[in-house]
Amino acid sequence: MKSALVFDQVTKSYGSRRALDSLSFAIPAGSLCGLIGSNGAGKTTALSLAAGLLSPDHGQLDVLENGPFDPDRHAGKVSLLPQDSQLPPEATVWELLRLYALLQNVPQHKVDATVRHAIQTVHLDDRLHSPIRTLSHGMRRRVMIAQAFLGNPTLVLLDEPLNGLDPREAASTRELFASWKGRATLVISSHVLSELERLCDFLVIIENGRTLHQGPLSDWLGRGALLLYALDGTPFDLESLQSEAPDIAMTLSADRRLLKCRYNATRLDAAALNRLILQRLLQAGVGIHAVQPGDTLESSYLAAVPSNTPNPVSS
Amino acid sequence: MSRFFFQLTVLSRFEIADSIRSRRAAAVFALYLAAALLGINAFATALQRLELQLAELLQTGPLQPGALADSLWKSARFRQMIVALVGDRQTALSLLEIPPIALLYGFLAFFYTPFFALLSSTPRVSTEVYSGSCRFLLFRTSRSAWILSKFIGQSALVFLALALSAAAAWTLARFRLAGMNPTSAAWGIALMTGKAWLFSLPFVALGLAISQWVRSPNTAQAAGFLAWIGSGALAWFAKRYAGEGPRIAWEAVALAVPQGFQLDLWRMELAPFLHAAFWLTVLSSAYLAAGYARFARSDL
Repeated sequence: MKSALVFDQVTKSYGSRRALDSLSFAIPAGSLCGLIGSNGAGKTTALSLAAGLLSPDHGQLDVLENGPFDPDRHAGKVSLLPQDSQLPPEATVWELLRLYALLQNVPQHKVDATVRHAIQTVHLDDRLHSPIRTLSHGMRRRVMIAQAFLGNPTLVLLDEPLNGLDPREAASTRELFASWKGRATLVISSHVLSELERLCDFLVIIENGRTLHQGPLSDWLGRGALLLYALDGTPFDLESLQSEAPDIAMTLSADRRLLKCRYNATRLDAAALNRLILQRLLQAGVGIHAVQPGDTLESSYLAAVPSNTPNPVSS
Repeated sequence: MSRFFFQLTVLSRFEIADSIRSRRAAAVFALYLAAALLGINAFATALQRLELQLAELLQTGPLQPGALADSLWKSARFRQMIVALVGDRQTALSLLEIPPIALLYGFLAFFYTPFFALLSSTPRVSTEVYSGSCRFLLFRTSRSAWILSKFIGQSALVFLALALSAAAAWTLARFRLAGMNPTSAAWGIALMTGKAWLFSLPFVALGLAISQWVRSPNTAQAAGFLAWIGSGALAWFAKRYAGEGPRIAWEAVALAVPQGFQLDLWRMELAPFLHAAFWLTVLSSAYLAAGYARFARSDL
């Protein structure tokens, strides 16, 4: 499988503070990858390294199977929505996006149409000729999102893209991201795990500048190997249920409201498991509010990452 | 290479437009205008007062404003006096080839242009690094093209400001000094504008070099002010202490600061002008390269 972005033992320090500590991962081409981690885990540093804004101290980066990022070698193929960055305040939306489009290798005769389409996508048609300084925070964020999708980038790096967007724009932006699935590799760094869970098919978790996990999101969530039952808390005999299905690892929350059943997908399917579990629970008089395949990203992340994880790494 | 020049053109156009749009550009234009207009106005007032006193003393009718200076410039005795005062016949005669109003404009432009060039260029890189706006560009273009576009843009801005102040100075002089020859004054002021612009280039490069080294715009601005004072002081020391033996080192110092070539720009012959133009270009490139040596590797 081709990789869009590879980090191989990459280390980066800011003075005595080590932001990345031999970070390694490979993001498959065409995937929608979620990049998650605690504050200061190294996500922004990783994205900035991928876009050539920072240089690694050690290790190798491979962007689109063409070596480390180089603005000439990767011309027009990579785009970035950086975090905590401001657009030039005096330029208008139109002027700015035209500049970015020209530099993004959009053919000159297509620049105006490309920019117009980008502005329509983020619903800023009526602010086309407004200077950036007159836009609200959310509108500026939409301009930043629009610039990231100009031209035909094959790797789009998005650092906290939904920050500051209202719910309607956030939903519309999610649709935009989803529409790029298969056309480009999107790497989305975000703390809103529910958004990533809905969007992404690949996951990289960074903690303390190291890779905690990488792989398909469905594997991490246990989709196809885990069923969650939201219950009403009525007591029932878990040991008896467990004895009927010894191959299934069952855990019940202390308040008896969540039953997790982890099973071997090669030997059992979800329908068969449901038949058994639901029948027994109903017989025991337990109310069932919901059945969900797999864990949520938030709960699995919180379970995997200890809350007292020291951050950041210091050398 | 063609991609580099395409990007350089696109970025330079944006830099000029962005500089003109900003309030800073308005402030720089206003400073150039004010400096030129106040200087010319003060000169015209002083000259008119002198001409009035002279007319009273000689009991002649009122002189046409500006006629006295023009006549003096043409007088053989006055020219001899200036040669004696300057001490260098060639330089003195060069100065006398320039109309008095253009000479004054040139003196003012050579004085304030370095300061204003540094003032406008020092924050250009550091502001964008500080705000992060350069991060939207520098994955699309090379850092070298971006820095070079800043130099082109800022040089163009200084030229526009100088041209505006020159036009304003000429208009004011035409209004206040009716006896002045407008054609030769216009030619002289245009010539001085070009020379002042050439003189400003290393200061623009020095400002951008500082801006590439210093991340805070305010610190960059302060460093630019110190660079203006420092380069002036170095040129003064170099002129005063250059000599034989170890004091020859001061001549090297004079080569490292733009003010060391200012006298060449006052001369009207081609050779000293070309000498100054060459060295000012070398200095501009050296300053820019010194800044870029850091910026090329810096984290953004």
